[in-house]
Amino acid sequence: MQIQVPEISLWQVLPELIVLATAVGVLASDLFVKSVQRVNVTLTATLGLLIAFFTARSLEASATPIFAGMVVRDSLSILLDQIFLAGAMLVTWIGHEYARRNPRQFPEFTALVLFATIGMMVIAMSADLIPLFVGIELLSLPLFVLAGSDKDRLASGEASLKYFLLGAFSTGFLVYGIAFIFGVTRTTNLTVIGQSLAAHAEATPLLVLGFALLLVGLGFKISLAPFHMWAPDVYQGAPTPATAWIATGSKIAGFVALMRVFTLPDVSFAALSDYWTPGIWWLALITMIIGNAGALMQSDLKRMLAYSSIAHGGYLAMAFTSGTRIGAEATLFYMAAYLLMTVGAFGVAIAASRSGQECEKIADLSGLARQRPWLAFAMSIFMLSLAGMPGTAGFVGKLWLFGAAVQAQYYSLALIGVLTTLLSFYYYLRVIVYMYVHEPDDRLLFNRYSFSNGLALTVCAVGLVGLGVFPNLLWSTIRLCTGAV
Amino acid sequence: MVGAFFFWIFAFTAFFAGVGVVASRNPMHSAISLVAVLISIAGLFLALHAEFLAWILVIVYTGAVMVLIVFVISLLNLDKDEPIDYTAARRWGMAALTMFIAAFLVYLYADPLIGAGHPAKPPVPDDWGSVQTVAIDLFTRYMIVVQLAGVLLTAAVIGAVVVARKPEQNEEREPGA
Repeated sequence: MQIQVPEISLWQVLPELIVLATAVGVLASDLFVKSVQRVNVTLTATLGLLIAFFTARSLEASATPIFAGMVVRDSLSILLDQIFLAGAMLVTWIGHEYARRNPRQFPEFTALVLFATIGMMVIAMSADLIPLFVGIELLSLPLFVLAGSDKDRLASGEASLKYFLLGAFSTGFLVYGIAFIFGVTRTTNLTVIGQSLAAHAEATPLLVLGFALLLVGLGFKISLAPFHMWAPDVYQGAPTPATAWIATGSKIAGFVALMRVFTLPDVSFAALSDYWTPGIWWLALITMIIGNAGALMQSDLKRMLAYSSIAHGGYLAMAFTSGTRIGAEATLFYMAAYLLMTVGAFGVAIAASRSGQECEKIADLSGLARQRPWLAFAMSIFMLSLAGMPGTAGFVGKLWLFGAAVQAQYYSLALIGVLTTLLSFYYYLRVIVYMYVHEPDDRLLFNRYSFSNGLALTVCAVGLVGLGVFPNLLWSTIRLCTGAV
Repeated sequence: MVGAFFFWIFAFTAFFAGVGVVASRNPMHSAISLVAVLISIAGLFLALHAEFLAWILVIVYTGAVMVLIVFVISLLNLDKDEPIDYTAARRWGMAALTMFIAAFLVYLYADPLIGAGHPAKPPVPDDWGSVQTVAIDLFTRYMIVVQLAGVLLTAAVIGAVVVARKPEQNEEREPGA
């Protein structure tokens, strides 16, 4: 029998391989080097991620799928690889600070963050539903464990179990959706599905059900309302660096999966957009309202950030609904901005601990400005950017998101978006008021934060202001990338 | 004809064993019923000439996963579990919902439009579903996915270690402790 082996182009997936090697190297470095602070673990991870980052930058984009049509190394996947790698680096840095105080976490913590990163990168380069599905699993599994890795707190175990059960359930929806779509089109290759649907854009009930199930499965991952129930509990219970990666990496990867499956022009399901657009339209609307209304009522910092992250998922979904090129560009830009401001906010939550007491309530930040002025300043930038204050990347990103919705004539959606954004100023500014106006509750001093955390926060803050003032730095790359697709 | 005969045998077994999984009060009986479901589904796969899938289903699910489930049930001593008392309204509500979903699925699969207009299904080769053809597919077309599954398993092993490790075991490694 003749067996045709497809071309193996390992150098095209070199960034993923480097991250894999780094994850193993992180475990090995803890085995052989007895470092008190386990600086070696963070250093190994940083080095590996940096190498992977620059390897990804140097890769040449090509729209031709590789590995028998399973994955594609187009400019979109290269850009997203860089976003994920930068995010993983920031999370490793803020995780280092957390692990210093909770030594039980290391080094599997960093290794699992890296494994989840590989999953995200696989999603970004999927050209077929099968690797997309494996990528989502590879992303979810380490995050389930990370959520429960703080064994001293019951809430962490609860978060892990909730996340795991609902995640497993949503995986069921995802597989069922993929099976239905395969049943109708007889292929899992996204390009072939797209061509087939473009030729016969007939929405059979089976196909619509396939879409709907896929949307539900991915909706869980990006915590779109009404599939957001798990998010506040998981975000609150999980160790803060894990929360940061669940809130950013996992959510962005979920949107990338939606993008790969639903919108890329001429590829995939774009042909049937009339049938799925109303679905995402309603999800975006409910998500924006529930996220912002929920955040208003929180006194717990991580819970507030959880609802805020749900709300931001709604804004992203709104631009996504437009299905236009500008919508895709705005989504990509906002992903990067969202990553920086959310990781930064969680980083401050880690840094602003008092001796033996983690920062949990928003009130725990009282008087931060007096004792740690730079920390409070960075947090102000993150909060203002999350709210969408001019001068920050959050503002530019939101402007484009709303612009995309208006351009697609979704006026009511854009209106709700603007109104809920105004509402969000209240709870973001409240954090700043606590830091600058309120007196510290007690005589306890805030801990000194580590160099790595300071570095991460600096990168986030400078990045946000930089992108806010010179958005073209990223925008031009994004335009190249959507233009090429 | 023979194929249809086996289909009905296995389909009925799977259906009634499936009812047994949810209906029996004793978790051990549920587990045994699930074994019966899996074996009959393996039979259905065999009737469709998907040999590899059938054997994998028996080996992995019936052999490994179900044994684990039975172990867990015995270790946790769950057989004196108290039945959940649903109100009559809720019971009927759930039954109605189930029937609705079942009817919806039947409607979907009975739809004559399924696959209409899409490229015709290529004829099924004689050796379809054999271990050999599955292996060739796995190691050519789906090669990178198989590799990724390996990465996934590695991550799962590390995760399992993290989950299973008791907090105290790490104390001695802490500085100054």
